[in-house]
Amino acid sequence: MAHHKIMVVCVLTYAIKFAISRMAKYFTIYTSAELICLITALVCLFRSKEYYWRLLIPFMLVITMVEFASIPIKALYKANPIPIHSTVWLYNLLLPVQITGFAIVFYGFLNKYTKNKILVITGAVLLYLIYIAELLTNQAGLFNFNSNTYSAMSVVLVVYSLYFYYTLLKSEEYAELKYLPEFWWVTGTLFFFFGTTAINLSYTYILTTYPGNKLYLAFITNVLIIILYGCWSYAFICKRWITSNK
Amino acid sequence: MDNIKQIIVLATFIFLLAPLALVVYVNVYNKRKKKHIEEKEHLKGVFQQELLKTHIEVQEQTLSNVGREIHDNITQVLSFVKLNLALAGNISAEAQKKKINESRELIARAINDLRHLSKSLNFEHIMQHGLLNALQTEADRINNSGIIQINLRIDGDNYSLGAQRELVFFRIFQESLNNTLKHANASRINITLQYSEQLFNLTIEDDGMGFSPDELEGNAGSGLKNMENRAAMMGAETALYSSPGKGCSLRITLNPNKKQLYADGNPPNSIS
Repeated sequence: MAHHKIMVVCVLTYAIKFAISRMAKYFTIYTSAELICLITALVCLFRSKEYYWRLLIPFMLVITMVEFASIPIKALYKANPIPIHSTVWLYNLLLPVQITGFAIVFYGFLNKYTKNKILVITGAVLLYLIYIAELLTNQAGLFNFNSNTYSAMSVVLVVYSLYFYYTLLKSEEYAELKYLPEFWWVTGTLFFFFGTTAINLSYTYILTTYPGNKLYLAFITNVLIIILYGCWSYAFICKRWITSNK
Repeated sequence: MDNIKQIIVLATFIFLLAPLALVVYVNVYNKRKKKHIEEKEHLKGVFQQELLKTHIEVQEQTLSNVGREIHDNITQVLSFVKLNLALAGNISAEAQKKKINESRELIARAINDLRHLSKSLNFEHIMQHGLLNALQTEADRINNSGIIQINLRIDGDNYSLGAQRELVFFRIFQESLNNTLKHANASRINITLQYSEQLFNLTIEDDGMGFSPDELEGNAGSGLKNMENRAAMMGAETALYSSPGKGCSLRITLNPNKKQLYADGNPPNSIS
């Protein structure tokens, strides 16, 4: 009997070790940060009264799923680098989701301070147009990354963020920024998209000229990802804290 | 190669530093906003307190005027009527008739005076009808009493300055009138209200003995300071002109379009 028990424990330990060794490759800085942020969103935003906060749960879920899904695809591409094996199509499909998600959230945030949301609507329409135009003009269609759309999205989101700050400061009501979830969410977004603008603009040039610099770019992007999801997670915690206090 | 690395690091550093500087700026600005809101709230509180005080003072002054009027005028008249009626018993029918007529006229006068007084007492009614109405009622009351002659002049088309401001103006008028009656030994007061689009002027002039404003001390000085402070709270400016033997002139100037943060021309919640 004791012999059987030892056997079961051994098998289980091996199975867990095997699972961890197989799963470990799925946990990069990107996926870990996104997963933590998704769990925080689930815990903190599930009962939120505002639709745009609740929307961040499926938004984070889609982003996290895309990031996890990209890992085996990347491995496939490494083994056989043909366009159909690249992750580009996945990120191209994610772009309209991101444009819609960011526009809705910013629309909701700005609604608190101003009635004029023409900037948000114009920005979103402009990004959709660029996306469609780029998709139609790409030689490989969905398998060429819509980098112009991504760069334009970064700029538009920076403008949204600055506009949010402007309306926040212009508002007659005082808000404690330390605990203001909208402020932290926008700050994370601003840091990430402002920071990545530099990389977006120079990415192709730097990598074609000096391929060895990919490591530096990856490091900088990792730092930005940590800032982004750190700020977002804190914003979700603030939101939960405020909601429960209400 | 090294240059490129430096450029990447530097560019990213700048692109991280810029939003950081912005966030710091937003934070500093927000703290300033908090301070400004707190100061505004404080001033609003002070103004409301001052307004409440003004309201109470106006009521006290009105009651004091009414008390004096009853004592000096109505009581005297009624006593005279009582005396007349007491004497009427032992005189001829013709004289009785004369006495009764005289008493009837005196009672009618007393009723008239009481009617005026009831109007004075109904302070809210006066303020509802505006500053001009309130000043007119006061001027009529004083003129009827014969203590002093008040001339009221209005230039331009009158408009409302808002209940709060009008209350303060009325109180300044009361204070000024009191000072004139107590200290100036004047026979005439000229009140001028000038209404224009950009400016409102209230001028109170007397032909009394006057004084040197630089030598004002004690209560007289603090009374004037109080008037100046109240005027300043609603965004008005006060100017006092006087010299010994040449009377006194007090002018309060207000831009009616200038909105004070804490005196917006609406009735204050605390006293309305």
